[in-house]
Amino acid sequence: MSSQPNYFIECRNLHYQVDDRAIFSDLNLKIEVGSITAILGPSGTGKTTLLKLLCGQLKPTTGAVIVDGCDLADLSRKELLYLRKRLSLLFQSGALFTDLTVFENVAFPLREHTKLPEHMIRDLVLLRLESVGLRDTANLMPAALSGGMARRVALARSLALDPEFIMYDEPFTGQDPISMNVLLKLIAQTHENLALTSVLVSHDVKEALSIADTVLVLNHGKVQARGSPEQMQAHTDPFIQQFLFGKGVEGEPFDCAIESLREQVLHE
Amino acid sequence: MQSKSIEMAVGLFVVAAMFGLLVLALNVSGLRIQGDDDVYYLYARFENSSGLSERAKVSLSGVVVGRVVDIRLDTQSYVSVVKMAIEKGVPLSMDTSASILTSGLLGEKYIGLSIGADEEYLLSGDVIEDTQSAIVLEELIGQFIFSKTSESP
Amino acid sequence: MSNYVAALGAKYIRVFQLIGRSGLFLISILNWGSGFKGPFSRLVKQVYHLGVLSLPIILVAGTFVGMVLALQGYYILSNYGSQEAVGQMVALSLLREFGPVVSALLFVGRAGSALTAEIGLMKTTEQLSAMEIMGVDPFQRIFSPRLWAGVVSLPLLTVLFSLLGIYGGAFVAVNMLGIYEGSYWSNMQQSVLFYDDVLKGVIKGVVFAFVCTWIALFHGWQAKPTSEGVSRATTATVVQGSLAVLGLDFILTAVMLGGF
Repeated sequence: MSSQPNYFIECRNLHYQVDDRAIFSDLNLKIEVGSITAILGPSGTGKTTLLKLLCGQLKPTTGAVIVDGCDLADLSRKELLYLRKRLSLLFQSGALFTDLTVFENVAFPLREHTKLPEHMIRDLVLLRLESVGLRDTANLMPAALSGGMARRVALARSLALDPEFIMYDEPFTGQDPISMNVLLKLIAQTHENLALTSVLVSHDVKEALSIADTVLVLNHGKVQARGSPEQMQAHTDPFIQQFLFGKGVEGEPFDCAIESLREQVLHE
Repeated sequence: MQSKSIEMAVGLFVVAAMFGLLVLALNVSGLRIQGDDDVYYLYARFENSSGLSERAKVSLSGVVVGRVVDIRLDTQSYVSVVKMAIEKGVPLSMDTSASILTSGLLGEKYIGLSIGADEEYLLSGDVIEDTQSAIVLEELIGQFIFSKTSESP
Repeated sequence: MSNYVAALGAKYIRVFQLIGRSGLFLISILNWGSGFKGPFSRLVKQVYHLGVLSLPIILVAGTFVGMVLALQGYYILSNYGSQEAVGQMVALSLLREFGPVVSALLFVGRAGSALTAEIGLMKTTEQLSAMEIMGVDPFQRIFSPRLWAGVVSLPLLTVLFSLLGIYGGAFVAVNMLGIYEGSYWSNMQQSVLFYDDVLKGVIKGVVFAFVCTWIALFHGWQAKPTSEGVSRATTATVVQGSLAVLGLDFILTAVMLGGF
């Protein structure tokens, strides 16, 4: 069903609005099959919202999200659920089911979508947990895990069904350097071993750039720049240089309509 | 496994509630499992059956032998026709009388049967003619006042 | 001035939108999915959480309510010399009104708020989103078993509440007030009708169960994913659920007694 076999996900003229604020206006982006794409941008530009739009959880106000040739808006609820078996999204907090054990959490997608016998499910779950280095936590409840460990278990769960496409929502936020390295290696290895298409959303620039092969920089609801990490290095846009590499001084205000600090303090 | 004990607890809960319902049915509401085969129907005509309601009891010598199932107005003779379901094991003579009595001082109305000496028995669908209507309090007071005033010279 | 009217109008429009949304929500959660084994075991687990865990409060409350009814009823009835009717009074009040209504109010407070908090928390920690993205319908897996568990549990709890109330009342009447045990029960048996009193009470229980559980689930689903949002949702469940029970009770009683 792929009309454009090179692009796994596309956004065309995407416009998304919440109340009166336009979060994305006329957004166009393409994610190539087999790439690791890092979507970077300042906090608050709506990166998580973008992920939710890409997997169909949110509907765009206007414009289209095309996944593997299918426009998400055309799919029925059932077809959408079916498509989602090939996608996976790793949430910032892991989003493990708190009433199930670690083992049950990872087994969940297998139990739901396959009719595999119990002993096969057991083997698969243990293999997945081993690949994220947490096989010994199988019988613990999610509440007993640290944040980093929960995230790794969630990664095991996301990979349980061998998806084609995986999205990571702020995977590096709040991690200590060791867990950070473990995660980076995991993401890179998984990407290669399973021939996935990966999308990372983050504001941890250095880490994201170290494993990505394509970089998209979002700002003010639009794609500010697109290219490989090397191309980003050489980019001339001052915002890119400042955001990615820390060059420059002035911070961007959140809401451009606010008066300058001087006016607010002296004249109010 | 934890789910086994949960299932057992739920099972106990449901059984307890069902049992509770049974107790409510039998002990509290006095529901008696009575089929239609066990009763035969008799009619009684009363001048005034005020206060008598459907499901009121019908008793003979103080023992409940049946229930009132229907109360209608006979539009031709303007009397109240009461249909009663009597247990089959209770034969009533042809000259049985039926009165509407009050249980207690301000209690509910019920039908009291008084058996006669006739050798023939009432069959299903027969009508009891010898009846005593309900005592209406206002009429009683009216009678009392009337008799009192007619006494004094 | 026109601003005020516009604001008022907007508020009412929002109320209707809310009702509409909750109606659509209800329709989505009625279906508990295909197959029998999986959905049934989920149902059983929820009946445990909603029904069995509510037993302590229901049983204790039922006993005390019955005992108080007997006490109060005795003193009122003795003014008319009809103390013997206390059994009838306790039984009818419980079966027709106190049983269904008080059980429902306690249910809303205990089980309803727990439901809303649980679902609100699942929403906050993105468990619902995660489930959706994994291709599992959270309406079928999470919401539907809870709805049907509520519909099953509350009528059962109501029966137990009324039962304990009647026996509690018996205890007080016979042991404390000196009513002859035989007359407590026989008076009751003569005036309580199974189809009219017991079953109608259970029917009320079913209606309350449906509405209360629906409200609890809806507010959990709608909660803003912050701690303040969840607490607001829980409060809304208890307040709206309680008011709904009382309002419905009036309507149901009017229909059952007067045949409107």
